[in-house]
Amino acid sequence: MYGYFEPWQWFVLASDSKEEVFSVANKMKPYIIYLAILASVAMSIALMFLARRFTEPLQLLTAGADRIGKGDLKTRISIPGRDEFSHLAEVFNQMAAELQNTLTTLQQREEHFRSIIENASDFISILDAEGVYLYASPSMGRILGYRPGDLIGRNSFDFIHADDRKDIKFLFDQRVKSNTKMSPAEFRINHRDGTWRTMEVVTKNLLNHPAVGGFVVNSRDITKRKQALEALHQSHQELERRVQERTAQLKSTNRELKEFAFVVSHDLKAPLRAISQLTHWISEDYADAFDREGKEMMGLILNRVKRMDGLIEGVLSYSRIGRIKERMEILDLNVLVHELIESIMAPPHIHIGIENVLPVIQSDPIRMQQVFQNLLGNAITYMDKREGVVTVGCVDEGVHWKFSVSDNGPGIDRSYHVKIFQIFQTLAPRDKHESSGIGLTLVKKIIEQYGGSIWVESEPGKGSTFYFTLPNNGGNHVAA
Amino acid sequence: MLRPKTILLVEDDQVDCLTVKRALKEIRATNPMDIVNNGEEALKYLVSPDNDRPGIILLDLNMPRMNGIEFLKAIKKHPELKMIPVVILTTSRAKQDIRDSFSFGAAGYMVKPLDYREFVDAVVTIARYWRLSELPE
Repeated sequence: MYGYFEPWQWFVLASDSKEEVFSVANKMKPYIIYLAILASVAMSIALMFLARRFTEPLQLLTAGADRIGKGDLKTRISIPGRDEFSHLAEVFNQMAAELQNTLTTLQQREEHFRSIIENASDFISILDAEGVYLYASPSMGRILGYRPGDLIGRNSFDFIHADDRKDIKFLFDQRVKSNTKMSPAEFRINHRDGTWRTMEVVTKNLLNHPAVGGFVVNSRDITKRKQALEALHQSHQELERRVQERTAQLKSTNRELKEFAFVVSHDLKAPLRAISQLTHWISEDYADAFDREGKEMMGLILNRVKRMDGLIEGVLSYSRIGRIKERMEILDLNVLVHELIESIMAPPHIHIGIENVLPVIQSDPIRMQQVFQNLLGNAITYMDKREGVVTVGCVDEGVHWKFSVSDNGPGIDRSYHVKIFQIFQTLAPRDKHESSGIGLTLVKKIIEQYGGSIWVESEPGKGSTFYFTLPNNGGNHVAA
Repeated sequence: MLRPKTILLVEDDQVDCLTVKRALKEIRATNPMDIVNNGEEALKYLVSPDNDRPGIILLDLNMPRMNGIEFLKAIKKHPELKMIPVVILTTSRAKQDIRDSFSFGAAGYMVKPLDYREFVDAVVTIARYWRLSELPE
């Protein structure tokens, strides 16, 4: 065999036989092939293992990240071992867990607020700057009959009563523009069934708030409250009307009664006067025709006529109280009572005294005179003691003055304590004490007309004390 | 001296008429007295040419048909009759009656007393006053 050896430009001849040259190699050839095959198999196996070791955790990681990315935060990647892959998986797992926690917290929080909004009795809506519903809370259904979904995209002003719309739109626009403070507004809104509900709304302009981006309206259904108020108002008016009606009726009845009393008394007096005068003339003109007894009888007629006249005069003055406008004056009762005591001219065995300083009050002098005159007069008329003592006193009881007129006279039995204030009631026979039986009735009516009350405290044999009160209207004060 | 002038009594109560008559007699008033029973009759009397114009009218308030106040209103509208003095003689003590009487031109107001003697005193007072008072022709 030969060969060309370039560097030397020689042909080299070899004379050994091929077999000789290659015999060893040929002998080794199967081994080498075997070895090569073995090596390559081993290599591939090794490579397979190696590839497996790298790709499996990668795949796991990819899949896990994929799931997490898709939102399945419950995913956990499990790669055993202590290499970088397992560490990476752990980090992924932690991240997912944290994300899940955060998200749960957020969800809970949202749930929390949502449930507050959705379960609120108020109806909460979010509108855009034009008034179109972006959100409506479920209470909407309860209040207005719509499902929240029915409203989204529709303009809220379409539901407001035409009469209210303009005003509310004006307020809304103002609020959208300037976000000024707005007091609660009221308007009527259409229920799905066509009826009108009155709402009271408070609003907050959150159009520029990144999380809301709307005009938040909190509406409250005040229809019932409104109706109740209206009903209350109506019943109040009705009541007022009725009171007025009754008052008018009462007034006219009262007036008729007073006129009646007046006319009756007035007309009763004319014939009485005729009787009186005719009796007088008869006893004058025919004096000779009467004996002593006859003259006495004529005297009795005149006396009875006088009594009748007194009764009529009493009814007249009783009916006059309140009918004639009272004159209100600042009265020093010390002066009034003192003058009265002097004018009464009580018999010398009766002493009338003023116990303490009497107040200055605002009242009608004639009426006050009538009150004290009647009480003092009674005390004097019925006095049965050798030494009569009559005392006028007054106590300041805050809201009113409590006056007293007490005497050491005969006293009055408990059973008559109420009766004596009734008209025409007298305790002593009229022939003993000429009395119309109207005095205390008159006093009672006057006291009650001035907002006071009157009563008597007495026992037979222990004298009597008549008490009466008069309101102390601030302006009154005890005279110095 | 002129003949005493007539007194016109406008009164529906017979006894009251008697009282006035009796009282006048008692004080020896010589004036003739004519009596009519209500305002309507009084107006008729006053416009009738048969009657002299009275020097004074004594007027009751409470009368049928035309009461004293109505009569007073009517007579005070008359250019001649309004000069006759009218004294009210009534049972009424009502403030409203007193106000009305004077605001419609009454010359006096007397409440008829229950007692005859007091009545006579009242008539005497009226008579004395009008005897002294100057009167329009």
